[in-house]
Amino acid sequence: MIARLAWRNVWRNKVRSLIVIVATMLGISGALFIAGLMTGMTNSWVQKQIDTELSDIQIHLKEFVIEEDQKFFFDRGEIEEALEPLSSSIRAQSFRLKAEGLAMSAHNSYQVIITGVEPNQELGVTNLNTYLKEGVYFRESKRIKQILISRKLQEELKVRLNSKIVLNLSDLNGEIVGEAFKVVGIFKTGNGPYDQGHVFVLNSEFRSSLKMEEGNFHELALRVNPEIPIEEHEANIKKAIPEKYLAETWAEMQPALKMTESYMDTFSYILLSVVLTALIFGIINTMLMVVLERSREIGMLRSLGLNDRKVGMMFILETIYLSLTGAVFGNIISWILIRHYGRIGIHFEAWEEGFESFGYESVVFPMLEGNFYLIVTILVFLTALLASYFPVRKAIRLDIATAIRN
Amino acid sequence: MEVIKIRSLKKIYNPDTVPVHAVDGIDTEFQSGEFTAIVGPSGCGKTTFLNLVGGLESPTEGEIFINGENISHKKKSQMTDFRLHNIGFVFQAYNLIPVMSAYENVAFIMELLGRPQSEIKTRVMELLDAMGVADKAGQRPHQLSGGQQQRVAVARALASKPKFILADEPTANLDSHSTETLLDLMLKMNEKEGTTIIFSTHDQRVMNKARRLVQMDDGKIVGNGKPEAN
Repeated sequence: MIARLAWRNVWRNKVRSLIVIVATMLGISGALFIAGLMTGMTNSWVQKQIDTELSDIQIHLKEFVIEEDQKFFFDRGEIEEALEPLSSSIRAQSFRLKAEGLAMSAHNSYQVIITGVEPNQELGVTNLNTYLKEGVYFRESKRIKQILISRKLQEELKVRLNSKIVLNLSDLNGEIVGEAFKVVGIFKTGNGPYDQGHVFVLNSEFRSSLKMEEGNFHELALRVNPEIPIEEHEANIKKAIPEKYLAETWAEMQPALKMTESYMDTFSYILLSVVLTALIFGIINTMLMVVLERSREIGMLRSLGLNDRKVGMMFILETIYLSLTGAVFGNIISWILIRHYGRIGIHFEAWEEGFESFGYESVVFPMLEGNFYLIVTILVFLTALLASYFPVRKAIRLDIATAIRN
Repeated sequence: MEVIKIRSLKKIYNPDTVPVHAVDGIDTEFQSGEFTAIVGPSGCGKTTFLNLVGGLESPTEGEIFINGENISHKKKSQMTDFRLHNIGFVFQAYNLIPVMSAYENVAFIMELLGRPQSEIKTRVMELLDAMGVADKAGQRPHQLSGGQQQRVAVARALASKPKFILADEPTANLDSHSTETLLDLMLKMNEKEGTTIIFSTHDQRVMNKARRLVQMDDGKIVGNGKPEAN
């Protein structure tokens, strides 16, 4: 009965109730949509780094990780043998060579990380080929060494497709070597800092520059079965490989990625709490007005025998109905918007360069986990409970005789 | 049989600043089944007296016994429960719940008391019928005339079969025809249900319908008896 009465009371002043509901709806849907946008940006940023560079798990010699010196390489046979029992959970693998060097053209030079790959293997682990803007993802050729560079580096070095650039690096003996490579492909991942500092060459051609023997590598990148948590894969791999190796997940290799993800979660909750704080004041104001307007009725109800608990419950329910109605519509609207733009993306082409300079894609696909909607609904419920405190207190403190006289 | 016994009842507003003796030492009783009018000029203390008897305000001094139970020192929550079970109220401004139909308004107290729906339905329809507004059962207060609203309010006050009903100027907002009708219906219900009804008024036509008149002035009872005697 009290619930029914409270629901009807909400609709006594339709305009005022609708204003509160619409304000709640807009606040919640706005906060959720922005949270979805930020989550989409972050997730695509993280996923892109996993897909273009990191892969799920990488294995190196521990010394290589600490000293970042190409003299710390491992034997492919040894690691393959160690991982053999786990082959069913490994979807793809790519053995890489790595070194720092200087990319030089006739006009400019730029410090880069040179990654040697075997194209067929690498295609199973990363998707750099999908970001090619010009040229090819390596080709069969024995005439000249091939290199893939980014659009950004191309502009820095002022070179074109099929131009030659020289990579200066130190070989295993510590001697500086300079080798000419022909630009066969130009990529653009949309992650400016990454693009500028990375070039890709063929393992077979890079090996001779480094003066490394066949079968030796610096890095093994793995893609694992996504149905099992990555931490479980990592634990199994660590058990299988000798002590001198270090297996790391993408989150361990790039803690900033994981941190950004959790920062975005925190940001979403901060944004939400700002909206909810504004909501609290709006609701308190409205409900205090309601108590003031209905003071005679409250006095009448209490004189008839409606006790404090029931009077309080009536106002708590009215506050909850008002807030939750707005929250439910806010959830629905944001869900529709996030679903729609999650499919077609939001194009921030005007700010493309700005986005890329931070490593973000200029097309953002908003996304939000289902439980976030549930959390928001619970938070709105708690906010309504909190907001109802003052109106309830005012209602049950009303002097009955005075209220009826008024 | 005594329903209400009042001893040395006083209500003083603003005792520390400008004391106003709204009720100033009243001693009286009300018997079961009485149909009594509290009369007197505006500001004589009628409403305060009814509020004290109904437990809406606490007396400054004195005691009120209802069916032998002293209600003067009851806690607020105990008094709310006491009112629910023992007292019916009718207000000058009808004070029906605007978002509920006539039926729901009358059923409200019975629902608060947790009575079964079948009993509620029978009792509410019986009362609405007796008050001549059964055909308005589904209508909300704003769809009813003042007289009809007050009849619904009387039905609401009677619904839980209280020991007595307090009505503060129940006819003040009604035209003469509605006043006549309402008083006849209240008298009829007083006879039929045996409920004690105490109401305040300063309307001579209403006083003439009462079986007992309690005359108040300056917070005191200055006359008490049958209408002919006043």
